[in-house]
Amino acid sequence: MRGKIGIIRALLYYRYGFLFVNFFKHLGIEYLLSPKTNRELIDLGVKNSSSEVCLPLKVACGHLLYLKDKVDYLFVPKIIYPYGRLYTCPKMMGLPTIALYLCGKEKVISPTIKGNFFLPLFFLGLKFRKNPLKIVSAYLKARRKEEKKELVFDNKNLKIAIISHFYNIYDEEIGSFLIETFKKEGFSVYLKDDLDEKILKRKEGFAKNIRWAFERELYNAFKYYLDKVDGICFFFSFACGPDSLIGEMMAKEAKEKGIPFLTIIFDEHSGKEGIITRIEAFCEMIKRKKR
Amino acid sequence: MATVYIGIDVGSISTKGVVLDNNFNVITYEYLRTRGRPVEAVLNLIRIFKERIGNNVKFGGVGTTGSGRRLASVIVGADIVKNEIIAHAVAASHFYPNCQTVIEIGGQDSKIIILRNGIPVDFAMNTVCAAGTGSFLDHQAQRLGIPIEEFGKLALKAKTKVNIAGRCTVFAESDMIHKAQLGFPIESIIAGLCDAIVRNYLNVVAKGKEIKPLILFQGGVAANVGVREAFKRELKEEIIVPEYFLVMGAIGAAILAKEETNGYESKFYGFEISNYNFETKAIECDGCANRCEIIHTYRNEELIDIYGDRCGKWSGG
Repeated sequence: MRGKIGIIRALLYYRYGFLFVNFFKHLGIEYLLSPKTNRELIDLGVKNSSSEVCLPLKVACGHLLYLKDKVDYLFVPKIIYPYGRLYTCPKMMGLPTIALYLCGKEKVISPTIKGNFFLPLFFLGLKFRKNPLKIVSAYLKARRKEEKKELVFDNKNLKIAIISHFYNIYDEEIGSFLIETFKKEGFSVYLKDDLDEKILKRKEGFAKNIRWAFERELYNAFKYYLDKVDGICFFFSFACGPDSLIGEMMAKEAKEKGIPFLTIIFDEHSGKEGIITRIEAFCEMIKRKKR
Repeated sequence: MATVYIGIDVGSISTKGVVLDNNFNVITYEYLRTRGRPVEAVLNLIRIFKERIGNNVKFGGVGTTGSGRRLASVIVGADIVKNEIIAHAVAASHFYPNCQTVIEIGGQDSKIIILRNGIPVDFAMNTVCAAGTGSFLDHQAQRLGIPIEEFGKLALKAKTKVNIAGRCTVFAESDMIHKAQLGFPIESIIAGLCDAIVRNYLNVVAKGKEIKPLILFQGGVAANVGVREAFKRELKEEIIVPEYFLVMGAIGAAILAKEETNGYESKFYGFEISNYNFETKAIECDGCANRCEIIHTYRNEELIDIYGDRCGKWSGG
C-alpha cells in the first residue's frame, strides 16, 4: 500500500496521538493530521452525524470529513479496550463504522486494538513496509513517552481540579477555555491527566466496579484531588451516559466532604458565556467561603 | 453631599436599576423592559435616576450584573461587573442574614442559591432550556389575553386543579390548549401551570439541593402569587418575597460596588451619559476559521470598547 494517511485530532488522539503519529513518522509514511478543532469543523460534524450522539463524537466526524478528500487512507483504530479489559465507550468503538459510511470503505484503515497496541500496528505497518525490524523499531521509538512532572500543590493560589476526559478539556474549541477562565479568576488548575498513570489506574474502593477505562480514571482523579483542592469542576458532554453516572457519584461524595462541586454539561448549543458565568460564580463562591 | 451607589441589572427581558445610600437603603429603583435594546434601557434608567435624585450627589460606586452586564459596564463606566448569582446572594444575605435558600426566577433563567451563614455554598442555574421561566408565563398570559399582573391571582381562584406537563414549554402549551378544549375553567388551568412551573424548577434546577429555611423568592416571577403559593405547598415551608424582589440583583451589584471602591473614587461617567449617543457594530472576523463576532461600541462616534475576539487580535489582550 502507498499513499498519505489521515489522522484525526479528536477523541483518542489526545491520549494515543503521539504513538500513532510518531509510528507513521518513524516508518517514513506520509501522514496528515487534521487541524485543531474550530467552528467550521464542528459545524461539518454536527451536520453530518446523528443528532443523538455526544459533541466529541460529532467533532470527530467533522475531522474525518475534513481529511476525507485530502488523504488516501484514514486511520481510525477500533480501540475496544486500551488496557486491563476496561472498555472505551461504545460510541468510540463505533467510530470506525461511522467512518466507513462517511468516507467510503476503501479509505478507512481500522486495526482492532484490545489492550495490545503493538500487534495491530505491526500488521498495519507490514502493509506499507516490507522490513519487519523497521516496523518494530518505529513502534518502540514512537512509544517513548515524556515523563510526567510531579504535581506540586502550592498554597499561594486557590486550587481547582477539572475532572474531564482528555478529548474534552484539551480540545481548544470544546473545553480549553475552562482552564483559562479558572486561571483568570486566580486559581491554580489541576487536570485529570496531570496525574500519574498509577493513580489513574487504581482499583481500590468504588473504582474497582467501574468497567469503563476512562471513567475509572476520572473517578480515581476525583478521589485523589478531593482532599487536596478547594473546588472540583466536572465538565462533560451532554448525552454521555457513563459520565452522567460517575458524575452523580462524585457530586454525592463531594457534598459529603463539603467540597464545592460544579457540574458543567455542554453540547453544541451551549454558549460559552453561560458556562463562564457559572465558573465566575463558582470561583467567587469559593473565595467568599475562604474569607 | 450624599454618597449614592448605583446597581444595574440588565436581564434578557427586563432592565433593573437601583440607587442606594451609604447604609444600603433603597433611595429609588426602577424596572424597565429591555425590549431587545439593552443600551437604550440602561440610558433610560440613568435618565430616570437623574430626574429623581438630581445632580447634587456623590457617586460612591456603580456595579452591573445580569446577562448584559458587560455591555452595561462599558456604557456607564462601572466599578465592578459581577455575575447575577453572586449579586443575588449578596443582596439576599444583606436583607435576611439567616437566609439559607434563594429561589430566583427571572425572564429567561431560573436559579437556586444555597447559603450557609450568609455565604453562598452551592448554586445551580437552568442550562439550555428556559421552561418554567418568566418569558413563558408572559407568553401564556398574552395568549389567554390576561394581563400578566392578574395571572397569578386567577390561579388562586381555582376550585379544582389540572395537571399540566411542565418539562417543556411547547408541551405545556399544547397541554393547556387540550385541557381548555376539554372544558376545564381557565383558573384551574392557570393553577395547574403554576404547579407545573414549581415542579419543573424543583426537579430540574433545584435537583439534589438541600432547601432549608429561610427561603427567599426573588426575581420577576416572584410577583406571581400563584407560583408563590405553589412553592409554599410543595416545599411545606414559609416563602418570603422580599420587598425589593424585582431588583435584588441590582441591589447586590450596588453593594458589591461599594465593597469594590471602598471609599475611593468611582469610575462612573456621570448622569450626562444619558445624553450621549451609543452605537454598537458587529463584524465577523475572517482571520481564522473560528469567525468570531467582534462587537465595537462607540460613544458619540468615538470607539470605546472592542469585545468578542478569542485571540486578542482586536481587543489587544
